[in-house]
Amino acid sequence: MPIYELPEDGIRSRPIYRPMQPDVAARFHLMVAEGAGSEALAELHEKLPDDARCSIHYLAGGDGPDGSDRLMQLRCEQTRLHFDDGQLADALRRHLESAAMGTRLYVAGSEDFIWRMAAVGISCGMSEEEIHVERRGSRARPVQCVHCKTRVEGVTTNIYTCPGCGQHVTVRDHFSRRLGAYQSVCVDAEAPGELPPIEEIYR
Amino acid sequence: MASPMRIATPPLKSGESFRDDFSYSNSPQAIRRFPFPFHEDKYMYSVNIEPHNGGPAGSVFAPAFDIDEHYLSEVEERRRVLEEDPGRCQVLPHMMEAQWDTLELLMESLARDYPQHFSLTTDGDQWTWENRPLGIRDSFTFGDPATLPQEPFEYITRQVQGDFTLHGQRDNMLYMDGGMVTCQADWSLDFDLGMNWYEWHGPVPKAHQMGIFDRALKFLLNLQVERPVRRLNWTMTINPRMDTSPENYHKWGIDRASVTPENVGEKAHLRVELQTLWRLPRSNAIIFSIRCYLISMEELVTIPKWARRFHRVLGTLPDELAEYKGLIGYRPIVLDYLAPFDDGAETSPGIGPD
Ligand code: HEM
Repeated sequence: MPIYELPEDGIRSRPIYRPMQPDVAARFHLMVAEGAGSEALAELHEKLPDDARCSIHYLAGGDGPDGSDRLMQLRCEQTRLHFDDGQLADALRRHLESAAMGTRLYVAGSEDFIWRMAAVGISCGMSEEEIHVERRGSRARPVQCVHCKTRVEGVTTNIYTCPGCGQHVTVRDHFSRRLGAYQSVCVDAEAPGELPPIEEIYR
Repeated sequence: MASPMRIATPPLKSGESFRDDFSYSNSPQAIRRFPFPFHEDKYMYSVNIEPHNGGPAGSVFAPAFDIDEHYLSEVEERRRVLEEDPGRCQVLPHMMEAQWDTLELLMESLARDYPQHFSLTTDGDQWTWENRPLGIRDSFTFGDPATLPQEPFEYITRQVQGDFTLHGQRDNMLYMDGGMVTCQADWSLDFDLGMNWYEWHGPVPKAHQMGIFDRALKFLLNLQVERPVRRLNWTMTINPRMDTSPENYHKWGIDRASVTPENVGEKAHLRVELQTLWRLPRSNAIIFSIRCYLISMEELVTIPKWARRFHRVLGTLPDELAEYKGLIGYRPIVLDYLAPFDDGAETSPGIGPD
């Protein structure tokens, strides 16, 4: 699986992200980003061969740095700025539905964003090997509570109160690419009320 | 497994519970046929896979899928779990052929191994299935889901003890493409759905580094139709609770803090999974059957060899495994309970009672 690596230690479903590399077998490079992900696309673009075909979709106006200007200057068949991620996902889907064989998808941004866009690729019939992802910007985690299945974006602490079921849940390293989320589980089930120190560890 | 002895299979009981008043217990015959998983006095992970080609008549290894005295109660428990949480049974859309494969394998196996309980009549694609303990008789068209009350995988696994997972094989990898998971040892099908072999095994300590998952996967990728394999896995559970899901951990986790020297014999259970793996003929998918057996410490010590050996296994179990299995907190109480049954005598080879 070239799209991400598995760690040697700890829970091995936790993705490790490395700088994206151009796929030399690709005939078309479809590049998608939000926020600080623009940096990753710019770096990737520099590594593309001169005659490479590519297009860029960028979600502008989100949190974090805005890379619109930088991306607009890159040489590319098509560059589009989007202002809401549903619109971006639709554009991506339209592109993939009419895409030629040999299209590769590259996604950069927050962990929540990259796996949502990867899921669009999968739903359009792309294989895992055809989708490259890189987390850029915040390390805040998208998390799903295993008890009530409520999803929270951008969790920065080891423990949080689930807005769905009100329990104190701890964030595990167990990660589902399908859900694009880490798993959280009740932290004080065996000793109700006894919480370990709450620390901000995903920033 | 050389012993020619016949182990008696007890008749089906009814009305046992796996929650609230926990009325589940094992008859003396059920205890004798319990799949005690330790062939020596210590335990560490290994690639413990062997052919699933039978065993002494009446033992849990003899039939393709073991039906025992707890059948009715476990089927009822599954129904209750699904009623509360339908997400415990999920199959990804591309697995329909594997669903029919599963139905065929289970119906044919049960009708062959338990003719007193089940029968299957087929005439081309017109099938009639009879499950007498549950009072079910259904005629349907094999291959047409509209002719069954549920999708074929859910329909048949609601009628069999133990959990089942379905695995597509693509590019030398197995994926979690479906399952019926209501009596699991603390993992979530809903979360793990779609994961690959290494991801769903992610939380297991040590075994990755020991190369166990690499070797086991390689073996499974070559699994052949009609050459099923099996292995035993184990953990411990407080109270005879089948549904130790992460979904409900906030309800059962507290049980682990309830163990005392007075109640440990009754409350602490050895939980053993007889896992069998089958290559399915049409879909080339793999079905994984996880048949769960529970035995209380009180019941276990009625077999002197098992009491002695389990005392030693538990005492020497590495902390990392004890932590992962969730038993590190109450382990000392179990060890104290078992100590008087361990006279230091040598234990005989093999897993069976003396
Ligand atoms: C397709 C077949 C299999 C499936 C679906 C499966 C599934 C699982 C799952 C869901 C877990 C729990 C992980 C967690 O903590 O979240 C687990 C644990 C484990 N599996 Fe598998 N497994 C399979 C085959 C095997 C095989 C063939 C081996 C052989 C070595 C194996 C070895 C283990 C071990 C050692 C553990 C840790 C168990 C413990 O300490 O309680 N698995 N497996």
